[in-house]
Amino acid sequence: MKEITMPSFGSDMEQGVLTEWQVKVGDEVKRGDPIAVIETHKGAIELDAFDEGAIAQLLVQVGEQTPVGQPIAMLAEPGEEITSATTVDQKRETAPDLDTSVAPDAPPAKVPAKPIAPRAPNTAVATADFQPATPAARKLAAKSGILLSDIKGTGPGGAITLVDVEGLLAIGGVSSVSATDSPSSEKTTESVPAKAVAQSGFDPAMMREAISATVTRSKREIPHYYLSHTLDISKLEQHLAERNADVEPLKRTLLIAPLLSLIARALIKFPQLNGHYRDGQFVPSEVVDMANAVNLRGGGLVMPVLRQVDKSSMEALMQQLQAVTERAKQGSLKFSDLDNPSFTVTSIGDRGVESILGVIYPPQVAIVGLGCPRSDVVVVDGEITVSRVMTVTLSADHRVTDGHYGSRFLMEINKRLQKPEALWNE
Amino acid sequence: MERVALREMIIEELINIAPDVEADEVPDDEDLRDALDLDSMDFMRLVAAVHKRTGLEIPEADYRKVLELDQMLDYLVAKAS
Repeated sequence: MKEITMPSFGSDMEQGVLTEWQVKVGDEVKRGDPIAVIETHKGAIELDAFDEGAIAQLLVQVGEQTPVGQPIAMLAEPGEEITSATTVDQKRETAPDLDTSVAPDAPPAKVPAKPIAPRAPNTAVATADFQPATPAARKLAAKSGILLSDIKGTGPGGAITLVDVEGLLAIGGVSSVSATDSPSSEKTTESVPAKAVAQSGFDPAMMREAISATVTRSKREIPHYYLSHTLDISKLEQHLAERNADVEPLKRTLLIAPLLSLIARALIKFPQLNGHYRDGQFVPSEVVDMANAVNLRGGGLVMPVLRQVDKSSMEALMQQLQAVTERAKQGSLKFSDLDNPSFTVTSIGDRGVESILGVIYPPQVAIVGLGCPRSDVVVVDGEITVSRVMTVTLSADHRVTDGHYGSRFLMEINKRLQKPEALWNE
Repeated sequence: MERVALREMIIEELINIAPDVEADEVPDDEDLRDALDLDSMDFMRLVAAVHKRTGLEIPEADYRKVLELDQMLDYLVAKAS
């Protein structure tokens, strides 16, 4: 039997609220299957299974606030039977004498002798008028004065998704109702365009707060030092143009992929930049789990993590990048997409300013900023030529490394940039 | 495919990629990526969608010829004929 615990989404998250169970006792899950929706300080995020097995117990109730690390469900491993003791427990939970108000004060036990109280998902009465819907959909529906029972859900199991609510709003059938029903004092919140809210599963206001908390902590605790260097990307661009020439659109490699790949490979030689600073001590990471900052159209940004970038082939990396970026933009990132990066890259993209100096995301100790690729005059072998260049910056934690170390790291990136074909052969 | 139908299709795909964009705010003669704040991944998805819907190929080397909606229509119409 394994515990599924309240996951941590960022170092400043202390607790989460379970807003939806997407499984019930007895359901079989495999790695990556959605289990629950957790409302965090950044908005609603789907928790996906890390292991295979069957759900043996749900330990928290919808709406319940749970500290990070506390078990929220029990998972029976494959072959393991869901014991009769479990069933007894389940029954006991629904008994009328259960005092749920005690639960929040109870000390977080490793394995609670008595599970903390689910009743809603398991009782017939509750299920009858329980309308499955995502948290973002609920929120928008409530804000717009729409009853969930009036909406036809198109999500898994008929769940109402944000798109369903949006669709209804777009038709205009209900917007006038909400305008007349809502007190004028709330007009300002009502006037937030549905589409802006609907951008993603993240709540823009909550996300602003979360970003604010993270960068404030970073600038308060981490003594940053900054380095910058302009690198010649002509060879890489040339190599990519050749590779992409006869390839169908979705198989083309974007410039960012080989850049992330070579940064990850360089990090293996500079382990003091790749890892976590916790309790006054730096612990290097063995793999490069690289967060790639993605700008959201509605505002804000998310940092989905690309796994083991140092070991990925370019094709695999590009696929991972496409999948995770699409989830980020749709607001459907899962916890496993965001969990525990060891390093971050932030980029301006190929339209915009020439350099960006990132703020380190604690407990990481460094971030690379990629500026917009551009043409510039450079001197090569004593001759003035026009080259394609990119300004690459490093912000790093001075408690862990010094400028000299960081400088060598940037030069290592430059060296690898001049042999782009190696990235496809390693 | 008629130019008008092509235009509608491209706008439809643009909105799939950037759901906050309204059909009537897609400019005909401005750089789409700047006007609609599309990143390179968004543009790649647009090119892929156009390919899927029309069978017409826009190689990467021609991206600079299709930056504006009108340009993209000219390019695709010429290619289809």
